[in-house]
Amino acid sequence: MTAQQQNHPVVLHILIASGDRSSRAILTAIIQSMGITPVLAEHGAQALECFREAIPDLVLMDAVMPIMDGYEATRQLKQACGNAFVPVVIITARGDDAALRIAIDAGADDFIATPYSVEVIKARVQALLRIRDMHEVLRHHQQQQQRELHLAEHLFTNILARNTQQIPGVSSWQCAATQFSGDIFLARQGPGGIQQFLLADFTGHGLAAAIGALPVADLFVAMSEKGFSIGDIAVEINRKLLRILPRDMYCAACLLEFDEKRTSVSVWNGGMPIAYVLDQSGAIRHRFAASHPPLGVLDADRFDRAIDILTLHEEETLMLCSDGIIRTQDAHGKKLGQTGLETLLSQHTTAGQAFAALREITLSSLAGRAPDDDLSIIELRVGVFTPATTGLPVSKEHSQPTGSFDVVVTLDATTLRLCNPVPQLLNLLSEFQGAPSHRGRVFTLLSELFANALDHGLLDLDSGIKQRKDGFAEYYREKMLRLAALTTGWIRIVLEHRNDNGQCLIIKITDSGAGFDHNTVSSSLEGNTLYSGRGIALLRSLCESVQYHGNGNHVEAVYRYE
Amino acid sequence: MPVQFAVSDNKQEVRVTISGRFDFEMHDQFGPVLESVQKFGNARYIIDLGAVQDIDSSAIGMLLLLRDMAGGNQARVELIRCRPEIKDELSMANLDKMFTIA
Repeated sequence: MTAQQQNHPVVLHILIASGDRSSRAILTAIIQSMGITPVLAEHGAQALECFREAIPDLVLMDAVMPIMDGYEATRQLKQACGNAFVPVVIITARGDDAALRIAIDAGADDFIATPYSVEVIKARVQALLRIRDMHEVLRHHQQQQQRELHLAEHLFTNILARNTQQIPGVSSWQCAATQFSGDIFLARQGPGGIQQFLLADFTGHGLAAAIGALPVADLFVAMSEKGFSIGDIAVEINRKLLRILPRDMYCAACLLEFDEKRTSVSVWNGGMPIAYVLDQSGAIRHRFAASHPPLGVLDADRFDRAIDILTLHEEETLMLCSDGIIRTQDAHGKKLGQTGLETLLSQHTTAGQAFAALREITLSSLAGRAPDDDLSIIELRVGVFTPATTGLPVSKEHSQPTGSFDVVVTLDATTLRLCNPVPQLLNLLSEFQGAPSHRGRVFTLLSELFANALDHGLLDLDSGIKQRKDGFAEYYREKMLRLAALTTGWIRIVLEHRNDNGQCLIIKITDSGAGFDHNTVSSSLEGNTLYSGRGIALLRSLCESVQYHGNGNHVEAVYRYE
Repeated sequence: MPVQFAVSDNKQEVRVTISGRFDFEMHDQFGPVLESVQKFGNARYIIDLGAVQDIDSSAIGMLLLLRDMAGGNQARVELIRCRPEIKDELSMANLDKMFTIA
């Protein structure tokens, strides 16, 4: 008895095709003794007709029949079956090997020579029905799995596609080892025009690796849009992955952040291959090797958010790839390797050539095979991908009428060492005021005012450093050192939202520092368009008014939402 | 067997010898090693990678799991006889500091 009969009693359907009346009668009697009523056909063509009317569970087919013989009928029947498995047993008077070969070649699944015993027929029929059942179960599972995979793929692609912005000057090529890729590449422009990228590679490949990609993509996009730095984002993704991933899974990731003028790049590289900075002649100018283990490895106490920062030039290019590229083997088992990659980079001098060459060499190594690991190559052409304009566009929109509210925050030295309050404050403002197109401008304002209070008020940094060659990086390093050593001082931020005569935001920031002579400093910076002087000039262009009070450690800026 | 392990008489040292391609396919065979970690806790683990041709991120993940189960930052996990390619792989992923490598 078949599993199917045991679990769900169904009427089994067996087709007997024979040109000989007595052998039809004998076979019918045997099948009936098994509790099954067979369908009868007198020749091959009729057997095919019966087959088309209702697909049988098994066919007993005489080799020799009028009109169409058993071999031809088997051939056509098997062709018409498609994916379904309909076992066919050929019955023939020839018991030799050649007859067996002809039957099997025609597509038959078994072969019985006459004269046969009743038990042989019964045993063969039972065995084949069992195989057919297993085949059905397998086919059912396979179909279900295919449906689920399609659904997962659909969701996965949509979620990731929604999170990827097309940006001129950014080329990416990705090739997955299976239907799903454990490599993800995301690009996002944050408020104020900073541009952030994430290239990540999960342990292993396939669905297991891809599942982790979804929370990473969600976090990256949400935090990037709120204005968090890549250091903050790395901390949060790490925290989340530690919580959700099994301990033997992790995610190598390279996070990049370009300032709004594209004059510098910050990099947090955790376990990804070297990210290269190529100069205008294509030569390697800088290597951002992994300075951290991958995400999801270190617990929060040991996690290091430190980033590397480099001043960039307009004609430069950044090249990133996943380790699949370096490890791809050609037909002789030879890998490209780090040295091979650098040799290839050095051979190409025009922008875009190295990217294409790396893709070509990978494809030719694969020679049509599917890769063993997920592959990604990313090229970022610094001068090409559009810098955000300083005068961020403000579109007309319907914003909810609001009343007035104040937010007052005072941060002590310890808090300042640990966090940047700007993204949180910006979110708070958005919750109440809800005019998304002002986000970028308000972010810029808050960031600049806060940075001035922290850098110059508390940390006593000299903006002049930024004018020097590679000054930006030096400035940043100095800032991090002094911030880490900060033990005293505070910054108070007061945000007053008013809706009397149109909506406006008054930002007041006070710091505990010594202050500066604002009369001379602010006027000398007035016409300054250099990077370091951008601060005050930019603030004045965005605000109705910017005024320094006291000994320069208190600033008040008025911004109008119009 | 691509994964073999032996425990010293005083149960203070577990020596694991791995050979061939150390990747995801070895997951099942690595299972008994992890079970032994549960049994012997903070023993010293010596992982002999001398006969390993190739290592991938899944394999490094298994070693991290072993390290975690053996006490995390207090664990004593040594990777010995690593070929240069394997050392490169570990240092590229910046995971070389998680283990004692020889």
